[in-house]
Amino acid sequence: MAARILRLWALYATLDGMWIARDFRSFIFYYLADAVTAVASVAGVLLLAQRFDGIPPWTRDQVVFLLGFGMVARFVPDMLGNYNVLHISRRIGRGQLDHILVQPQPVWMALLTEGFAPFWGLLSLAPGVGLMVWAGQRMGLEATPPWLLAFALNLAGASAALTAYAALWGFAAFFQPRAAEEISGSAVDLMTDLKGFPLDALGPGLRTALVTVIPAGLMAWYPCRALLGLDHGIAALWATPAAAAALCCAACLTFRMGMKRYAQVGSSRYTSFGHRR
Amino acid sequence: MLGENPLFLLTYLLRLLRLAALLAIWRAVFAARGQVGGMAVDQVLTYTLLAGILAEPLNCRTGLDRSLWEGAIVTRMLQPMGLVASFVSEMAGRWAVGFAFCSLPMLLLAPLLGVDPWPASASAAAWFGLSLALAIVVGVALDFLYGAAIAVLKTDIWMLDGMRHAVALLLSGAVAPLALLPWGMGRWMQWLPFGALASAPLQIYTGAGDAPMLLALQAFWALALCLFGRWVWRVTRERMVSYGG
Repeated sequence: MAARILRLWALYATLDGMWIARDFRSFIFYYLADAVTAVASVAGVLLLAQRFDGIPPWTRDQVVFLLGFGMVARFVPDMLGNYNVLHISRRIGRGQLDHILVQPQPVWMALLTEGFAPFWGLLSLAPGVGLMVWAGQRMGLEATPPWLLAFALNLAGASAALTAYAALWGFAAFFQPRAAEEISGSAVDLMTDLKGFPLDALGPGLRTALVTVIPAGLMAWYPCRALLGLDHGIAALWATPAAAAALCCAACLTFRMGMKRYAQVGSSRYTSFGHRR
Repeated sequence: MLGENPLFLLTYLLRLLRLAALLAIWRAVFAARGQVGGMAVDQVLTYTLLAGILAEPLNCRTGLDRSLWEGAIVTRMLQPMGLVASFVSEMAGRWAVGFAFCSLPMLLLAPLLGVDPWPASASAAAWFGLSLALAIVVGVALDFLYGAAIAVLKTDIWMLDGMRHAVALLLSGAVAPLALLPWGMGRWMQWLPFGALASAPLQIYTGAGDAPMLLALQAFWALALCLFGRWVWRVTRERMVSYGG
């Protein structure tokens, strides 16, 4: 099974590479646009951190690390969930789930592999990694094996939380295909738009909401607090992966409910309210 | 409009959360500081609140790009109405909905958020009206130039859109007042057309800028971009390809 997943990833990576490099102009244009978008989206907070020497209680270098972490945490779901896999409500709402169901492989395997696009958005990864390394060196961060493990777990947790949250909302499209067709995109925006902000200054109510109801704080703020020692509790290191696991379980349960519904009503693709209306 | 985008409430919730986060950040960075870049914390909070309330007019999106992508531009061109008037009137309709469901609640919440929503003075309020109108003209002109770029490049609009959105938000001063950027960047950025979009009207409203100078700069960009946009659009419309589907 693992070999098959690797083969499929290699196949989709090849297709992605061919698509990006189909001509020189597109190649340059996509990478340039991607890099500019990634940098500009965090530049506001970055420049403020420079001007004010940090955003209390975060120092400037800690803010830089937070921004880098957020960019990388965003890249992973984009890399694995391209072609509307991350925006799953589109596929369900448009009746494109049928395209997966007719394939001779499990649904989960199709969803895990067919959105794999490692070349797409590669230049949004480089600035993120660069910011983290630069800030880490300035802070004298010791990348010990336990710290690296915690970092990897939290990064995976942040990426999984985004994917699961988008899916959790996206499965609403099983029940309201037309109205909820774009809901995954809205959920992604909710999670990612605040990823570059240190949220400490918000009131306790809003802070709690931003790691539970709308877990945007899990994208970078909460894991970075734990990784950079702003929150000393050992539980803080595990909070993001644990929350991501809970969100994944909730998403799986919702998917099953959605599939039951789908088995009863079928595809909406060619109905009067469907995508090919 | 609502039928087309039934998730508008989530979008508005995001705007409110973003506003709350920005206000909290400003309070944190201004704590124990007096004026920074010629702005006091109260001015910055009012600036940020107004940027949140007027998010749509300060970052004009006529929908031309989507129309090109979906092929709907073809039916627009058949309508007995100018293309600019058609898109602008539709955009104003969207703003009305946004104003009722998001801007007005934000304004009413201002006292709860601890922000004074009133302009710096009566004259600032009067100049602000004119400045906002000019900002919208500049925004529409830039949007049509963007549409022309899509027609020429014949490429994926989503990537261009993301880049444009991120760059415009940063350069226009909609996220942070340009005066608060480091290394004196704001002094240079205010001369760009993006500065006429958000920074100029918000500076005038909060009494943080030289109103006659800012208005003159906005008027220059409005005139220059309208003339340039008109010429570019006339030249490039022959190269336009509608995708549809």
